Amino acid sequence: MTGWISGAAVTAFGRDPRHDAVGWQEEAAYAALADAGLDVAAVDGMLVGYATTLGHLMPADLLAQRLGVRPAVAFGVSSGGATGLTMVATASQLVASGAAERVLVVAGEDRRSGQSTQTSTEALAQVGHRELEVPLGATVPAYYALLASAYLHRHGLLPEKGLAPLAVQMRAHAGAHEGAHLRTPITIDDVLQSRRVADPLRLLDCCPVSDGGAAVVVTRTPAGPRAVRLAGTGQAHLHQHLCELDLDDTGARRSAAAALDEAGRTLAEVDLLGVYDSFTVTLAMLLEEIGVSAPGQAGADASAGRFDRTGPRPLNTHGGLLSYGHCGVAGGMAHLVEAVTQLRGEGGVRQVPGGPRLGLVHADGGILSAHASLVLEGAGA
Amino acid sequence: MTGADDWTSGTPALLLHTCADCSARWYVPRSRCPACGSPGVRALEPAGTGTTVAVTCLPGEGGEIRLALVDLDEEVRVLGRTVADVMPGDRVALSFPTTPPQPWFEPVTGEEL
Repeated sequence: MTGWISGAAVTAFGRDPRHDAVGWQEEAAYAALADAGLDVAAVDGMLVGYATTLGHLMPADLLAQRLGVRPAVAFGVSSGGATGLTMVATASQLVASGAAERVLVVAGEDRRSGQSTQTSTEALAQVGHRELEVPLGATVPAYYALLASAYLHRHGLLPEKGLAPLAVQMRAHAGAHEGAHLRTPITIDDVLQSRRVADPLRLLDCCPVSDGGAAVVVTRTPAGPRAVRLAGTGQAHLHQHLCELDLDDTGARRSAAAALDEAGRTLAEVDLLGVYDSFTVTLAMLLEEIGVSAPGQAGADASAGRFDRTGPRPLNTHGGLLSYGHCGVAGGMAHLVEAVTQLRGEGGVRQVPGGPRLGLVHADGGILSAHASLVLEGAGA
Repeated sequence: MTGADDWTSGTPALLLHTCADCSARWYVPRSRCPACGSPGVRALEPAGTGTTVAVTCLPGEGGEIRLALVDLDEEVRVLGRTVADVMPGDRVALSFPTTPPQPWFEPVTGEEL
C-alpha cells in the first residue's frame, strides 16, 4: 500500500484571465481540501509544480504562505508534463515514510492569459538541446511532429487512420464535461482540414494552451469513505533530448509496469485509463508502448470505440489535454482527478457505466522523456 | 556553443563523441561516457551519410523550416535541416551550405550499396 487520494479537484480550463498562476493554485488547493473534508491546518506536506508564467524559485513555500499552511516538508517539483504524477508518487513516499501525514499536491498556471503564445512556445522549446536542436528552429510541436513522422512511417499509416481518430475521441469526451476548454464536436475531416502546425501534425492534433489548476490530497490513511487507494507508482527517465530517445523504449512501458507490479495487478485488469495526450501522436505512442494497443493500432482502436466512455478501455473521459485543455502541470493532473472521480462513481453524465474499479494514469514530460504512472483502486477493487 | 570546434561555434563540421574504453558513440556533449563512465571521450567526425528517420516542416521567421532526424551510419541519431523531397527511410548526406553553418541533409543519389 502506498497511500490514498483523499481529495481531488480540477478547475475549469480555458481562456480565463481571472487568476495568475498562484491564484489558480489557490483555487484548486481549496477545492481539493474541501473535497477531502480537511482544513488547511491538517496539511503537513506541500508539493507544488512549476509554472512557466511564474518562474518562482520556491513555489511550494509561496503557496503555503498564501494558504496559511505551515508544512513540515515543502518543495517545488519540475519534471515537465510528468510533474503532477511524480509529485503524487513523491507524496506517497512521504506519507509512507512518516515524513508527513497529509500532503497537498498542487499545480496551476495562467499559461493562456499570462503570456503570449510565442513566449509560451519559446519557453517550452527549451526541452530541446540548447545548442544542437533549438537553434535549428525546432519547437515542441516540431519534436512531436518528428515523432509522428517516424510513427506513421514505421507503421505504414496515414494521419486520418493513425492520429486523427484520437483527437475526435478526446473531443467527444470533452463534450460531456462543462469544465473543458474545447467542447464542440469534431470529425476526422475537421482534424485533417485544420491549420498545419508542423507536418504531419495539424492544429487539432495539438492540445490547446489553457488557464487552470488542479490539486489532490495524498494521505497515509483514508480521510473518508470516498478516498481512492493509490496502489502503485512507477517512473522511468531514460533520456531528455529527442536524439537520444529510443522509439521502441521511451520509458512508458517500464514506468507503467513498475506501477502495476507494485499494485500486484496486470494491465488486463485495468478498466479505466488516463493517458497523457499533449499531441495525438503522444497518446498513440504511449498507448502502444504501455501495451493498451497493438503497435500501430491506437488510432484504429479509437475508431472502433474501444476508448469511448462505454467501450472496453474508457480513456481520458474528461477530454484529455487535447480537449479538456492544457495549462501545464495541472493539465497532466486532470487525468488523475478524472480517474478519481470515475472510481468514486461520481462522474455524473459522463460516468463510465458499470463502475470502473482499477485505473491506470500515465504522464510524460519533455519529448517522451520523463514518465510517471499511478495505479488507483476504487472501492471493491 | 558546445565548446567543440563544430557548427555550433561557426566551423562547418558536426562532431560525434566516442568512448575510448567501451566504444559507445553519441552526439550530445559530455565529459564522460554515459554508458561506462570513462573519462576517455574522443571527438569523432562522421562520414556524413545516414538514413532518415523522420521529417517535418513548420513555419519559421524566414519561411518554412524543414527538419530531419537522421541515423548516421555511425549509429548516432542527429537533428538537421533538410530539403523538400526527403522522406523517412531515405538515404541522405550531410553538408553545411549556410552561413553561419548548420547541418543540412540532402538526398544521396547513386550511392553504392
